[in-house]
Amino acid sequence: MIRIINTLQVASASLVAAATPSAEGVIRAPEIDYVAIAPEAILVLGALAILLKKGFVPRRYRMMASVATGILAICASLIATGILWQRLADGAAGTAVSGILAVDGFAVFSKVLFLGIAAFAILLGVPGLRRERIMREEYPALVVLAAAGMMLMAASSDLILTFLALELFSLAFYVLAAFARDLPRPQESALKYFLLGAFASAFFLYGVALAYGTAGSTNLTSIADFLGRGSIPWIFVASMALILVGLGFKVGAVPFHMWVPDVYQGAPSQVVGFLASGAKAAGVVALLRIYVSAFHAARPSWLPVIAGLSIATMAVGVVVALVQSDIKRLLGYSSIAHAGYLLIGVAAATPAATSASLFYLVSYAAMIFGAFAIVSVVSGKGDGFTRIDDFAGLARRRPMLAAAFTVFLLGLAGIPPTAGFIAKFVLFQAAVESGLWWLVLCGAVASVIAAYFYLRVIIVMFVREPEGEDLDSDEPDPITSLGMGLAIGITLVLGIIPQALMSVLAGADLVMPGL
Amino acid sequence: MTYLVVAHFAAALVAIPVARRLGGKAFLLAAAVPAATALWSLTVLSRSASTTSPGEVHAWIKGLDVDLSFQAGGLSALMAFLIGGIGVLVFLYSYRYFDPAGPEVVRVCSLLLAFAGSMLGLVLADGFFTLFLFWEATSVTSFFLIGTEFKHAAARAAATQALLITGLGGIAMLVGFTIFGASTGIWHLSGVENAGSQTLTGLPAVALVLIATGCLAKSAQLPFGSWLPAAMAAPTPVSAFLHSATMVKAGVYLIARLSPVLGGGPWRALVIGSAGLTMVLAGWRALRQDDLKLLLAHSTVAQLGLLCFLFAMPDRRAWVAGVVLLLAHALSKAGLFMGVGIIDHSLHTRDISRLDRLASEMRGVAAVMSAGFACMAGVPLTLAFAGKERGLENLMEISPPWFYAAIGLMVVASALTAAYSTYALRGAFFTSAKGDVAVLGRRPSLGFVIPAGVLTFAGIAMALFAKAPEMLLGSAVKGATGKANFGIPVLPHVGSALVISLLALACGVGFGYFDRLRHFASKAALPFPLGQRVYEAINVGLIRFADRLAGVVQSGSLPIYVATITIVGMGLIAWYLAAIDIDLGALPLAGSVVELLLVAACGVLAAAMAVQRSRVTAVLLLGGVGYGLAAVFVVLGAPDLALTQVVIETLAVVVFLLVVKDQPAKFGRTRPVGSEVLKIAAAAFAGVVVFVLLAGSEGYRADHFVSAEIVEFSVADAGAQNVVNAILVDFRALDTMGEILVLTIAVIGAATLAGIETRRRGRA
Repeated sequence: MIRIINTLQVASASLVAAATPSAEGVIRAPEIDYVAIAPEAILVLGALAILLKKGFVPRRYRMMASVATGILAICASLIATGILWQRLADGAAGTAVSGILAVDGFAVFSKVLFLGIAAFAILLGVPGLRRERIMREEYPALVVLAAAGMMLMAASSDLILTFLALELFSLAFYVLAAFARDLPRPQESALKYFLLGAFASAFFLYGVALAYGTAGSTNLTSIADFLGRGSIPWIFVASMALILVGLGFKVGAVPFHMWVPDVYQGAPSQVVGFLASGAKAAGVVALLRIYVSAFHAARPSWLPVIAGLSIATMAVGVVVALVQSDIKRLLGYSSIAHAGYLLIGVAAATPAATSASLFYLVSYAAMIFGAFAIVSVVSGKGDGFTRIDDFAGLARRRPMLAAAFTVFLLGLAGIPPTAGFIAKFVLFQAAVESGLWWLVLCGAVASVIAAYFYLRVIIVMFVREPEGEDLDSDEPDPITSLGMGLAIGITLVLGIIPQALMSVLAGADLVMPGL
Repeated sequence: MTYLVVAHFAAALVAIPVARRLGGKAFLLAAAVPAATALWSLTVLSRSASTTSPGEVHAWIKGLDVDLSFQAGGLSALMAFLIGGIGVLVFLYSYRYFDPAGPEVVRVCSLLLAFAGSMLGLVLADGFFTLFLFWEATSVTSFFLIGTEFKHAAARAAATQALLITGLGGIAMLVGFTIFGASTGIWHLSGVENAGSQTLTGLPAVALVLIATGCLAKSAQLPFGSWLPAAMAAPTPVSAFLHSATMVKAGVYLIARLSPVLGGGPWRALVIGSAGLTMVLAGWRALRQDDLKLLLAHSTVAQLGLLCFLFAMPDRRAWVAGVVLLLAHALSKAGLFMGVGIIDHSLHTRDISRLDRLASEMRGVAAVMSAGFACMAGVPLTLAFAGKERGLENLMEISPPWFYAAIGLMVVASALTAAYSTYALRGAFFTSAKGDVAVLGRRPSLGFVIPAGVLTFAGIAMALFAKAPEMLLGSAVKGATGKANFGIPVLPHVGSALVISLLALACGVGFGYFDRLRHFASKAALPFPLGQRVYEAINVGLIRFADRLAGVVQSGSLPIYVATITIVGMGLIAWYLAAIDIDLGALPLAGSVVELLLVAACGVLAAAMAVQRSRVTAVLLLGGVGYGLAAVFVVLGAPDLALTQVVIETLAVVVFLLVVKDQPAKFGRTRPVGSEVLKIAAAAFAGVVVFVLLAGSEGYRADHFVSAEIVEFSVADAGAQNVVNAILVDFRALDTMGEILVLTIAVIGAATLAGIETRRRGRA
């Protein structure tokens, strides 16, 4: 392991030493645009404040102070993002900090998405972890740092920064996956996640090195210019393949998916929603930023690979989900299938597909957060009851929970009137329009198979008699209920009146350079 | 139209408290809702023969062609009339059927109203998404209605099966609609109709196959037919309403809407093939049933097959025959189900072999059922006879040879219908029981029998008073064929079609009448597994496959995962590398002898590490590889890199040793040999690919690197004499910041996890 980190650091040190942007062929010391980096900077400061407060806040209030600081940081960052958005509306899209950081509609919208994900992580995670008595003061710090990393993923216009952002949120996720579980199983899954994740990151870094070697820069704008100039050297194609391994691992694409079911099962349900939506969204925005935008000229080279990954991912995800008897593993495989659908959006590589992918990510985040919130309540202490059979008769024991879970499962299956349906609809439509009807056909078949296992869970809840003793699961506490309510609200509102979000996406001018 | 549909759902909600208070009487009140539908549809039918009614469109998602839209064409209005008319009778019948104080009254009453609303929405829908929404709504309400007696495992399994098959079919259809819309720009049924007859190829053709699949699943055609017989676990009023007259007609309806305006294509072949097989095989199966209700269920599947078959024919005259039969079947089959329900209610059995000359004891029911079977089998002077004869006549006029096969299929299907009708009627009402005789309990009241009677005798009455069917069917026929006047012959005209019809009828009656012949039929095995067994086979096969796949993709072994990532990652590169050729001879071997020796030493150390069994030695050897690399860096003229490498390597080895000291001194040797082979193969593959990659990139240099500029500007911009420092704190300050953050979070993580460890030890 240390071997890998060691290699990474040597490699990254050498890259940092060598690589700098050269948009106009002239490198100057950067003007730091503080407004542009404010959203992430605020989060980082918040995290530091959480860590440093130990010396100042009495022990009794430390937990509360951590959570409050986390919430405050997210809110402040949201305001900073709003200011950035305002600047965009005035027509000031471009890059900042000598071309390293993109300031465009795509970046700003993604930042809002990640802040929302972080807010959900605190809203649903804190009460849940407290109930499990595994809440730690570091949790809000890990969440906001991960959010900063994911936001940088979306905004980064330089492969080095993308790598750092990737490591930033990944490290937080490795810790969360093992979060305070005194059981061997979660620790094993978290260790596997960490080892494989670091391994996949090494591929990413190797790819970046090759890209630099070919294009002479790690800056995405420069690379796009380089690719636009003519033929694409095969070394660059190899570098695209390596970068894809790293990002494919993050989104959970087959064959880099092995961590997903294990981690979903091993990590406490309260944080899985965060891991699931965050890792997927961060990976997908990076794929959009790097492949769809910067590597657009090389699409003929990467299209077959990404389309192939997409088909394999959908197929394995939905088929293996059929035989899962554990709800968390089932949602894990379902999440793999969703990664496959999202790769269709990447493959389509049009502005319409980009905005469809973002819509998909928003709705997926709401649905998966909601689903895991319910799992965390129903499974009870220590995630003891996560078999699908444990959900038998839930409709009679806890009608509201069963109804809410039904909404989320219908959403994940893509059945109207939920956000999942609209998301799939716009995504598939965009893909058909860019000529990928064969890919959409595979996605369609996968959706039909997927509907089977979602429906099966719903049927178990509504039709089967409860098995064994009545699992006296806790009533959800008010804050968790609020979080679930919000998730249901988003799932249904985006399913019934999606215009609002769509017009935002259309107005945000998501066209990144090169597209 | 929107109000009418919404009113159903509102009524379904209101019905819950009302039925709680009133009990069974709530059914009588609820009947007012379908009655309104029936009346409304009659006004549309009387009007729309002359004008096409305007549609109602409610924008839903702008810019996406998703809307809620309704339009009442002729066929839609006919279906609405059936839903309303049969709905009224079903509610009246339910009032007698259910125990007025029973627990299921509230549930059934409300769900039946919701179902009627969904079904109405389905047939009135114009936009694809509206259609899909109501389509799935009928599947869901049907699911809850089948599962009315949810305490019985059989009812639950049947409900699940029905929902899975029709629901998944619906999703296939949704996908079809989406592809169709996206590729043609048409998102409404009326749009398809206005576009005129055309043969679609490519993507729209695929879409139509998916849509047709959904239709076949909903209408219980092969290979999806299994759910309908299973759904007979539902209470009889539900079977009469959903599973004979309305819901199962949804697929037929959509095929009937699309068929006249679309040209040929694979979808037509699919429907004709599936329906043609179904109508014969399901009829055959019906002959083998002893349970009256199951017999009717299989017969429904067969009749639906006939309808799909006729509607999918490219000739519009077959379509006209289809619409006549659609009406005839809905009326007769709903009535027959109700009749079986009465028998079940009075004798607590539906087994033909236990029914003893019922005709003498239940004259009314006998008459009603006789009329129903006659109408279904197509005895002369019934609506079905007129329809079937017309269908045959039209098929005969069309020349291609395979139409003879179609005629043959139709004749066999009609004969089978006649056969099982005769068998059921005779066995239940006119012969003595073979087993223990079922005892007649309470005689059915008149109010119980009348709804059934209205339906079955309507089939006869309509054939005699041709005005009624002309009014009901006229606008539908006009919509499809452009001609309003089509004439239903009350008296058959003499021709080959008549002869064939009568022959088929006679054969069938004979077959059903003589028990020995029927026994022969029931003994003969079917050529291939049908229905239930297909469902189970698919279920089991898919699950077994998924199980095996799960074993492959989720082995749980870390080495296999690492090998997979390596092989796939390197494989992707190798795929591209295969296209280029590299001149190995032109490669520079080494800069100097020292360099060569150092690299060789690294290789030897790495190989030694791989075979080493002692952990400590392995760590030290690994460290040796790192120092060797540092030496290579020195030789290549990168002392700063070498320095970093030495520092990190030293640190790494120390930390590594600290970890290893707590572990067993030697690596275990328990792994299977295959795993070793995989590891060696993956490592060798990666080595070869990287070698080729580096060898190939030897000649490649980017035209422009930024390092020169950095050196140039480091003093001017950053005021730094040390270039590396300038890069770290000035040019790439944000990255440095990011690195620090990564380290920070790594420390937090380590601290958090270490905290857990301490706590656990403390507790132990």
